[in-house]
Amino acid sequence: MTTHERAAASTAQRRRWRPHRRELRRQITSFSFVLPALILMAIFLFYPIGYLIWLAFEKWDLLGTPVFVGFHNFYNIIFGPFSSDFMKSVGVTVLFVILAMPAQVGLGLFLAVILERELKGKAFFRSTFFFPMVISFVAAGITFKWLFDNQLGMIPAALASAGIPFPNWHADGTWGMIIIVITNTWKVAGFSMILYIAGLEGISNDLYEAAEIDGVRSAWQRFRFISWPLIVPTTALLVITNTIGSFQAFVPFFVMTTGGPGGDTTSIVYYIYNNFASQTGLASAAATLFLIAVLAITAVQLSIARQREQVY
Amino acid sequence: MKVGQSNRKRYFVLIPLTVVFLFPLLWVVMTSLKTNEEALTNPVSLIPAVFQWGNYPDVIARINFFRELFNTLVMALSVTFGQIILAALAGYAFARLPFLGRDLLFILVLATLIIPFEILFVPIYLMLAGWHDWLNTFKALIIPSLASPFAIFVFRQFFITIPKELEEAAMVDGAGQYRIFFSIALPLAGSAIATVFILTFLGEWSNLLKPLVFNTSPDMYTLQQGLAITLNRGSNLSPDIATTMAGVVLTSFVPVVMFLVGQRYFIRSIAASGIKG
Repeated sequence: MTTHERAAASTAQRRRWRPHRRELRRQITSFSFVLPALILMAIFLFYPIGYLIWLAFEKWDLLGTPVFVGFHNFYNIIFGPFSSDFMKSVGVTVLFVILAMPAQVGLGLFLAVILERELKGKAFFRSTFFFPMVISFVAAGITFKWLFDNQLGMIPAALASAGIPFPNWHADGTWGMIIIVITNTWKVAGFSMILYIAGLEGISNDLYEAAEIDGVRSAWQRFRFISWPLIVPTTALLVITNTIGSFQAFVPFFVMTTGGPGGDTTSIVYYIYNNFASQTGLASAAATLFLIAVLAITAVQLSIARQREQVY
Repeated sequence: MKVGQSNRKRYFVLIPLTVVFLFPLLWVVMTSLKTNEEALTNPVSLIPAVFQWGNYPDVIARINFFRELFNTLVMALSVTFGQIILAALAGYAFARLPFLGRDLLFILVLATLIIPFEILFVPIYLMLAGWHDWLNTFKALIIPSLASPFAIFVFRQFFITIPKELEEAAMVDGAGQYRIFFSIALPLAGSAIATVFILTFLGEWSNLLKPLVFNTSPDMYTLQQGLAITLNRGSNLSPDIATTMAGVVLTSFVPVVMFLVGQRYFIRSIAASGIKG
């Protein structure tokens, strides 16, 4: 009998089988360890998921009573009268992920590879590149917003005195996005760097020595044929976590461009935030699609990561 | 000889990168020591003409700094300690105490690991708005954040690795499950506690979306709200960059000091957060 079967039996027969009372009590005590966390998760995680999906099928502005409208909210934000704002926010978010994710993972990998082997001052460099992780996105966003400000920022002013014009990124959505990606990369590349350093330190020195005998000489070859294949799991993990993290971006847009100009830097979460009080149904439909997308991205990337691991 | 040469090449790349990474921080501190007039009229110079600290008392008055610091600390510390105790208990049971349906429950916890607050803030806001007196209180800032699937996972992964013999010896002595947990397992869990403490405290300290949605009353503002709303939005109207940068320095002070004191633990925690995968 497994523990589970014994537990079930003891529940069913506890009146007749006195010795099983002790097992039942053990079960209850064990369960009581997870109960507080479970109750809170039920209220603030599982129930809200159901509530969100229910809201997505209602028309509501928080004042009257919600009215069931079927798939209308979904239709409205994808094809209907509200589609331009929502679909634009999807485009903005996808563009941000495409630019930001490779930048932060790539820079993180580059920093980790330079810092991998023994080096004087290694700890200092590592802490320096990690440091922006410690401050908030609000603080980082405000800093870069003013550092790059067209009238008052040091960098545009310095470039102007050298005769180089700086793009007016508050008026141009593409440049706004680029400045936000630069800020984001500075802020979070340290995360990828730390995980890559941990991955690289896990590679046995014997492998590099063996490879040297086999004719692997240059630093690039060492990286390409030994390090890179062995840190594929780290890369897979970082691609997933950073894709999902970038997907949820809100604060840098909120503090740096307030979503402008004309919604050019309004991400999906920013769209939900803008609409949840006035058009709760639409915002909830957007959040539901977003939830499905996050689950889908995770599923796809996990299966790709597993396949690639088998290849190497 | 060969090693020395390749190291020189690495410094050749590392030093410019260090300058790029440190420059924004240096600029923030230097700007916070200028007068607002100087920051406006002479943006090109990095070093203030006269070092002056006047922006700091200004910003403390402008954002009601000590009230917001208090709000932030109450929220961040309560959530952090709450998560540690709830997640340590749950993680221990998932690692060590067999009970009916345990594995199924654990899969459920894992499945919610990737669902962020950014997706669920609308229904949670509506729930809190429907309950009497929850918005604009510490309850709203603390209680919905107490149970963290990630923290549970960190503790579970830790408790799986400690040797069973210690607990078994205590069990033979007749100690109950709670006594074994509190007197044997939990005291060993320092590294897991440090990881959750650092990641949760930092996350709560820096969080903007949660207070932004749950707080409308300036009395309840956290430091990030003071920075993002009062200072940043305010500075769009009359740009007082130097005061704003003093705000950036002040609101970053606590996490930065924590990092400088416990760098090793920070870096280890971030590396440990990679076990998510």
